[in-house]
Amino acid sequence: MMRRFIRKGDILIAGMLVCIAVFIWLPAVLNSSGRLTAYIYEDGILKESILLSEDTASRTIEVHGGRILIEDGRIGYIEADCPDRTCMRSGMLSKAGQTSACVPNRTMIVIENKKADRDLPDAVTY
Amino acid sequence: MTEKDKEAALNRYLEEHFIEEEKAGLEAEKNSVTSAKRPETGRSRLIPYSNPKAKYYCLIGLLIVSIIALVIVDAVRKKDLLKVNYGFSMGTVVIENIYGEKDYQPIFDDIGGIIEECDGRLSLTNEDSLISVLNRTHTADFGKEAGRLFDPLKKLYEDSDGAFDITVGSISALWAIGTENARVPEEDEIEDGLSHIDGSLISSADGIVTSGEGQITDLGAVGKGYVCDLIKDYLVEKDIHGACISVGGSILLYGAHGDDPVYTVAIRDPEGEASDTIGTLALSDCCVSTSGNYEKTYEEYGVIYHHIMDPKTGYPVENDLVSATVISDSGLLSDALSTACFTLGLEKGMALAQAYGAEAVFIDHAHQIFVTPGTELNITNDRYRFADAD
Repeated sequence: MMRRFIRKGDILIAGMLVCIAVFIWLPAVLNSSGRLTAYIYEDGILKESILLSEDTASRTIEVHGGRILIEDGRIGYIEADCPDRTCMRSGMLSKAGQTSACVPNRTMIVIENKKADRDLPDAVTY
Repeated sequence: MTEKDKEAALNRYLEEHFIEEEKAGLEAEKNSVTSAKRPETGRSRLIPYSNPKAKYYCLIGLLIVSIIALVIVDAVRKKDLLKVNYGFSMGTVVIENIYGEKDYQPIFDDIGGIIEECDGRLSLTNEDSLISVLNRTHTADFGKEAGRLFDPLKKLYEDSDGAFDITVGSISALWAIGTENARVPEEDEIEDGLSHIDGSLISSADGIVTSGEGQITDLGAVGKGYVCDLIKDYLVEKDIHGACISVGGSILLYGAHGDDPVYTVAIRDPEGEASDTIGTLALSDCCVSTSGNYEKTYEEYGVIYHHIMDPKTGYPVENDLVSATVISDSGLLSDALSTACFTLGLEKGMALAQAYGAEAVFIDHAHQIFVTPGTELNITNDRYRFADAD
């Protein structure tokens, strides 16, 4: 019975359409999985990106005018030579949307999570 | 045999053989029809393989349909595209969100250039800036920018009864809050600084701006908001799909992200860290700025001094407010009004904002929030509440 209704050619065409559909939607699907990532910028240029959810080993990163510590899924400035130390006062960050910047040294830490971004504000006024 | 005879014989021969072949063919067909409905090939029924012309058009049709589908899907997804850029300019953090533009890098570069150039013209710390020339020689050629920049500020000086005054620079320079030279000036220094503050002496005509002798004009309270207006001009000119730009906390909202022109802007918690907020506003196509006593501070002997100076007293503003947020179509006005309203305090500040047709959110020392009637603020921090909620 099957052989009469569905032929090899039909399967081939159906297969092609599925491939096209996957090709279109796969990037969107991949991007929406939640991966908590911290980005370190030096003068507007991305220096390093750290997967906080996976990168669990404790380590420090040297940045211009300071040092950043990554430990237990948290990241923050532990040393800075700027006059106001605002960056260090922000402490250790661990949640999406959190930022810490050392303006005099032009470095900053930003945490993003593609999945949860919809719940975060587009901007913060201060 | 004649030619005619040969031809006839040939035709007869062909006929006989042809007919036989035809008969054989028909027989074979008859047999196959009785055993099975159709020959079992793998060919799809969608495509009429037997009819070459129809098959050709059908395949072309499928190709056109799939191309159209891909184009539509691509256009829909392009609108949702978001690219973010982080940078430093004007002495602060700049965050640019550009929506629905595949070629985003030139846009980031252009906006960065606009901010840098504006900073170069208006920065107090840059010796070669137009403002520095104005402060040294008390006359400077701002060209076409003069009217757009100085006229509204002069009007605000008058409307706020001098609470907002760009000549407050002579006092701000003494305190230098936010720099390594921050200190508490002596009283006689403050007296002297106050004597030079008089916003009525600023005049602008045909692009030439003049100030009074001994005056220091400081656009620090309006620069970030003003550059948002310049960025907006650029976004309109380039017909950018959507953008949300933050220049040190002065926000520009433009266009739409995806199909949605409404953006969410959060207000920082005056007592929290960079990402702590008190609530959110749903806004489109406007500018938002905030002035608060927490942004830049200096501490001496346990007393905390903030950076927004009162042009009447020569000391940091001290009243019922900890922050004032103003929403306006104009970035320059949102920034200038936030400073003016913060300086005036709750009652007069609220009246001033409303007189300018701007929306506002004020926060006082008791964690109470005051809003203009047209503002819809969603409070997300339970330490804060609306003033009339008691």
